[in-house]
Amino acid sequence: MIKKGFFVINIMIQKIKGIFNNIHLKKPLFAHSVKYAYGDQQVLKNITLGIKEGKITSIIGKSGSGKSTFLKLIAGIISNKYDGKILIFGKSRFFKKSKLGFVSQDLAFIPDLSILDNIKICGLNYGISEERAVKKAKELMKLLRLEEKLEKKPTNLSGGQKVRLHIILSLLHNPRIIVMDEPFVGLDFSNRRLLWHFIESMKKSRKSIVLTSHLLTETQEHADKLVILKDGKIFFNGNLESLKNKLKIKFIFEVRFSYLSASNLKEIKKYCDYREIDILEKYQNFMMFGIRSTKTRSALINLLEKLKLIYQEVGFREPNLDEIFLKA
Amino acid sequence: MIIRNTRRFYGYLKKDFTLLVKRKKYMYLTFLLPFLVGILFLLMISPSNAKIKVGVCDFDNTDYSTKLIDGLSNSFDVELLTGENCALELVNSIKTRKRSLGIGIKEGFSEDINNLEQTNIVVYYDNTDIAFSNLISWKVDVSLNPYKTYILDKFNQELKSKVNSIRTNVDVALELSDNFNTINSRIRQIDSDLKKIEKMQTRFLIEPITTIQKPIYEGQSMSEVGIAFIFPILAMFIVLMLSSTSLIYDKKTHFTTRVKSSTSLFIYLISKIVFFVLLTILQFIIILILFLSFGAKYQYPFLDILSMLVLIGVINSLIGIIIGIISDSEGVALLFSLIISFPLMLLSGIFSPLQAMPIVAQFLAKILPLYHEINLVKSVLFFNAGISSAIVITALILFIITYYLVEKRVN
Repeated sequence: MIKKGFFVINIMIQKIKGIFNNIHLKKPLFAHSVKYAYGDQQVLKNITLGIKEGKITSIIGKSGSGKSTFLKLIAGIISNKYDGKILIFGKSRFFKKSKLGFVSQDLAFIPDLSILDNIKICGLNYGISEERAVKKAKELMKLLRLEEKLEKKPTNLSGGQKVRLHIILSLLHNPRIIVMDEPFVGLDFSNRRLLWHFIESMKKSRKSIVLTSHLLTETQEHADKLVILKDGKIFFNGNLESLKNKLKIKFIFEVRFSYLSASNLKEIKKYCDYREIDILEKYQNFMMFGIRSTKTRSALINLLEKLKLIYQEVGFREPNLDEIFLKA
Repeated sequence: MIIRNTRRFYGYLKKDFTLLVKRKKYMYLTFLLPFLVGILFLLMISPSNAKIKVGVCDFDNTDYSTKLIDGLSNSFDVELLTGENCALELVNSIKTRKRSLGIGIKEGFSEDINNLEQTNIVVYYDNTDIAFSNLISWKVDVSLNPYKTYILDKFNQELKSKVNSIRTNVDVALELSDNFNTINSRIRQIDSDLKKIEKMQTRFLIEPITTIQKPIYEGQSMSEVGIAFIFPILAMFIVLMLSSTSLIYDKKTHFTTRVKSSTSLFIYLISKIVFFVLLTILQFIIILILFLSFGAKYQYPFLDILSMLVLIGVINSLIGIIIGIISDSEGVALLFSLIISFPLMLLSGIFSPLQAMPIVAQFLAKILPLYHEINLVKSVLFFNAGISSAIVITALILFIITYYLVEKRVN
């Protein structure tokens, strides 16, 4: 009887495993228990992450948290040994590189050749014909509003145009997964807006986008999923609302003091610890608190008045991703 | 104003010195290049204890020839060969670089000396080895000097003994004037001695033994052999610099990132090698046309020439790519190329004969690729000897190392 029970449980486990595996096979990108170290320094610690089709996933984290390393591992730029699995449509990334387009942080084009030559060479590099590459490039140039003569050299383009050309060159082979490492660096507001529109249009055509960015407020508007990396681990994986819930920050309360003594600061800190209020920022006489309710705000004001502090309330509002990120 | 300008001057100077110290590769290379070249140059010009390997065919096989071989042993590492095909064996061993020289002592060598006639020995040498060719006649002559002195001493003794013999015969003739037959015999003896002295050549007195130089490559002119040196050196210089800087360029423009994200670096590496092999072929064609226009004539084993060019191109481009991998800028890559090219050139045997260098320098030269590339060109163009498997294995090992480094170190 017991044996029979074990047998049934075993079959069930196998079935569940099968379903689990199938889920991974359907996922454009799946990283399982990825660990990677630069020498003795462990950069990525057991990262497991799946990317869905037609979604924008934004990986955020402080400098050195392992974002770029993770993206480079996905794209195969780092070919050193790592632990774990990275699957693209259920297969090793080595066999599915053509499904992936990597937009590196550094602009990658040949400055001494014309835009047209760059397009042709990059197309050939992805294994597509020159004609197809030029056709696709023209299509992408329209979307990214890069209306420059193809005979021009990339060095003659403006900063924003160079970034757009770099993106176009990375997507000539029409990849189903787009991995972008800090694509907004050095772009002005209008160029950033344009790039977000472009990313949204890619999403509409069922492409999966994984990107890293430090522009968290913009990211929160567009990303379907946020992944926060902290010290090489996934600190959070979900949407903005669940992040707010997790970090328990409903409001931001900002004050500027006329004067703040060390003893007063000590009192405030003690009170914040007691009431579970987060001090998100403290710079000279400015303080930013992350609080859970309006009641907490009133209690905090009471404390400031009790301490006879002269202050000015700078703001009381819902937090944006940048502010939440301060806690993370 | 002066103080400000002095500060500026000091600032600029400080910047360059600090950069030199901080950019360690620049610093090491700046000091390593003069150190390395200096050491190698001193090694090149140092007196060498290394003995040149010489094979000797003794067709005379007399005391005189044995004495000659003993004399040669003081200057050379002599090995005595025997057999009918001795001369052919000598030539082949020089072509395959087993020996540097061959000496043939002809039959009748001692008879010539006995007759007080000038005689000769045959010296086989690699005339495609320019620096060694210039050295060899002097080196053989110097080694023969003790033997020549020995011959002339012997001649001097014989001359004196002949004079004594004449004097004795004359004395006897005077004493025995009554016996006609005895006088006749004595006078005949005197006549014979005098005839021998009369027959004696001035050339024998000046130089009892001459050397007949037999180059193993029977080309039209010496300028023909220059291609074996100038082409590998040029190919190495140009390909090393171009391939190393080309990889740096690809790294700098992040083209390698694009390659790595879309495919394996294997195809990239192969295409780079093919490109530099084609450049090598073009360089060869240009140099060949130049040499042909100056009257040189070569044999054209097409497949061997192609294989030779591919091997030279592959080896040089792989070394260049390795330099590109370990260098972080084009400047460092160029310095590295120089660091590698200079010793290779100094030890290639074009400026100074390798055989006359100390054993350490000879060992270094033989493990460096340029020496083998020069010999490869000589084998194919002059001796029709094909390609040695050692150089093919070297190219393969280099490829494996380069591929590993490219995969690990690029990006």
